[in-house]
Amino acid sequence: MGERVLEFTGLEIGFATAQGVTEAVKGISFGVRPGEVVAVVGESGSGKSATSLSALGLLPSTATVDGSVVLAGDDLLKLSEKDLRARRGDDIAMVFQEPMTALNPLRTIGWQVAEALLLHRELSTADARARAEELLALVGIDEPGRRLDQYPHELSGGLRQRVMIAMALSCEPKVLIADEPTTALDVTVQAEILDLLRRMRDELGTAIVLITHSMGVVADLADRVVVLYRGEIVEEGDVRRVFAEPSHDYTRRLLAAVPHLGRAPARVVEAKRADEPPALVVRDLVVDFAGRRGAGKFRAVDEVSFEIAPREVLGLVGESGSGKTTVGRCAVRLQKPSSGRIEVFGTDVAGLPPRRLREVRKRIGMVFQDPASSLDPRMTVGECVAEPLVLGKSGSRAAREARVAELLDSVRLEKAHRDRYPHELSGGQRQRVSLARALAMDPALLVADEPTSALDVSVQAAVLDLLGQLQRELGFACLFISHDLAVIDQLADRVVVMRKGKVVEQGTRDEVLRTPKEDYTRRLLASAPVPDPVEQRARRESR
Amino acid sequence: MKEEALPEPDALSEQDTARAEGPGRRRLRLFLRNRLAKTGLGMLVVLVAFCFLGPLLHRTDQVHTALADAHLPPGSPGHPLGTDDVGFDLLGRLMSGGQTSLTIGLAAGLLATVIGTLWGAVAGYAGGWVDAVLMRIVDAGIAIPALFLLLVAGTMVTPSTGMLIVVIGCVSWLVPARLMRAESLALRSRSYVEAMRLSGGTGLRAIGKHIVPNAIGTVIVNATFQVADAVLLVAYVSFLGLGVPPPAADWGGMLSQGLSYTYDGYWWLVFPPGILIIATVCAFNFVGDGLRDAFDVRLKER
Repeated sequence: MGERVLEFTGLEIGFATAQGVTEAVKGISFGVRPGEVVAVVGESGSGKSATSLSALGLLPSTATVDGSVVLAGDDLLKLSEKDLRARRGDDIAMVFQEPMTALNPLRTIGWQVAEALLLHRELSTADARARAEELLALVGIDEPGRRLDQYPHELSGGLRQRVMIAMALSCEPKVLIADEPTTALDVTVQAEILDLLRRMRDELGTAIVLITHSMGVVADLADRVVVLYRGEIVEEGDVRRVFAEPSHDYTRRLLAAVPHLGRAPARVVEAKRADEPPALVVRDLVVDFAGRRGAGKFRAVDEVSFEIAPREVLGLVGESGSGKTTVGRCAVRLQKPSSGRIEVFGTDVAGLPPRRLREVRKRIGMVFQDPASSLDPRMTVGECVAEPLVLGKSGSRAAREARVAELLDSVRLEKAHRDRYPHELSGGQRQRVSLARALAMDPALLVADEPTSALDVSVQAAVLDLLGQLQRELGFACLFISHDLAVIDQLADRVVVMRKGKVVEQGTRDEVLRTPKEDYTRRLLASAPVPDPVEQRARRESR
Repeated sequence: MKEEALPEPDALSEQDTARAEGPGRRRLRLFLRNRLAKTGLGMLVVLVAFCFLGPLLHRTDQVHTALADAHLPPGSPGHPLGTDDVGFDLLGRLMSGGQTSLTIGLAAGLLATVIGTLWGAVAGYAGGWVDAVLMRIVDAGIAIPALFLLLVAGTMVTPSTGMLIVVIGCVSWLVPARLMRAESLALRSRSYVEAMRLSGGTGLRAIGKHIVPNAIGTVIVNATFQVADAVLLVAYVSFLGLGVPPPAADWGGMLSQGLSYTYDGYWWLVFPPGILIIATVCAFNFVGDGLRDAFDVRLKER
């Protein structure tokens, strides 16, 4: 291994706020060598993004930075804006999380890739264009010549992220900083992008600083790991060592919280009783959305059929655009189906008048994805949880109060939380309140649409545990919608895999996730990285 | 099992949240940080005190004319701001006129806000053809100049304070209706509104309990501008001679009467009511600006 090409020493970053200075990064030191991938891991608020932004001088003006960030002998923090600009894009480049907003929608791909070349190298426009085409080919984009004249909106998310990487690599930087490069992408696309980054490291010897919260991505790509917790490095070392024998307590907790595909305990599936109607039957469900004028209809859900037995957890998996959320919304009739039957405990809700629908809905609870918008910001936690009780006209005021207390207790929230407002709670706490509200009327069916995808792993683990435990205690049936196979693995009795509006495969969890029959399911499983570098390597090689 | 191993991240963030201030306090702090808003609030307090408490200190007869004392210049004994063309004390008249102007302005502004808010909330929440019909009515209303409607209404009914409130309120609810519709459209797809519908709630509850309270910031800010507009509208109609009939007075009417004597050099009949109208409108606008900052959660604190 050679000299460190980028080295952070004693880096301290503070942000001035109305309440005083908040220290985001408290004196961290680490470096990266050529041809090495260093993963900076941490949960939200750990300071990992602030660290990466400091290297490019992209922190907002309210930030105060101390320490040094040395790139090939020069302290980037002490360079003038002009010198720094010469370095940015040339010696050090960045790949951002959101490929849509990181590209200018008004310019062609060719123009954007050539831009950095024209700024940093003395090239003619024609040469820059030729080089841009080479770069697109390098990052594995087919028909690069045609792509040059396309606009960002004509490309898929995965292609856009490849373009971002091509732009970052255009001047062959010594260091590439990738800030959550795959978080916004589907797993199959994520696997391709990770392969691409690995190839860049091997072929070009680029040093990569990978900022991520996903332990699977770390296990897949990183050589060394730096674990950040509240602005401090709690652990640093070789990726295999850190995963195999984490030395710090926080790392151990973090790793334990990550759901591991294929390692969930076996589940006892109850035999179905013949005298009970299924909790939910979806038969030949079709949902069409009206397209834009002239564009025709868009079929979001195409003849989907499945059943959920009482007390059963059905995992509905699919990538973005697979129609899984639409199916969930149809099940509770937030979305009107175009055709097909949806039976909730034997009642078809598809064409039910509002009054009857209200009766059926009392037996259904729903947990939504976004903790920020699932609770009314102007109601206290107690009021939020009590709302279904008030609407259901159940019991006296005192009885409702008691029920709210009981519900909050069952989702492990304190009494004191009852009078708090949602903005005073963390994301995990808000999802617990959501869960308590969904369970208020003792539903027999719970629909959970990606309830943990906006949460940090450790919080996700706690919420999933709670959900599983309550499901066993209260015995409600559950339609659990997620993009994350490992989460589904942990929770579901049976699994339905959807793709582009159709059901690809369904069966018990072990059938679908251990011995998949369909190609797509197999590809999905192979793409999901597991949080274990040794196992992940074997999986990658067998892919 | 994991639940016990992992209490820390959540538990720690709880400590953070304990320090967080409530929404009300934060708003008050943001409002009071805006110097212009503080000035506006101060001006309003002074104006209201002047109009409603002033007459207690400076007693004048605003019913019987005193033609012998007409057109006295400012500084005359007993008449610090002089008198008008029929001998009413100008300072006293500004006070009683201000009562009319402020009352009509506030009440009409609030009426417009209430109508507009409900109209827009229903349109945005219902969507579909209800929305289309309700909003086309608003479009049609906006296409006709408010002043024209006021003049037509003014010729058909006898102007009185109550009448002016109703008429001005009914012509100026259109803009708040549009604003509220946009808010309502965005809020109705929030998960908490959907969750409420799932537990069997009706549209009425969604609007009353979730949509209007969450748009209250926009509504309150707009209400202040609405009041300022209404004060101006009162001035307009009175200026055109369709205001409250004598001996009652309001600032717009005083301005209008004063203007007929500008060539005689009676400046004290023009400037004081004009300045008070401008001050009132500015004060409400300043307060509105401050409130907008206070309610805008996206506003970054620097």
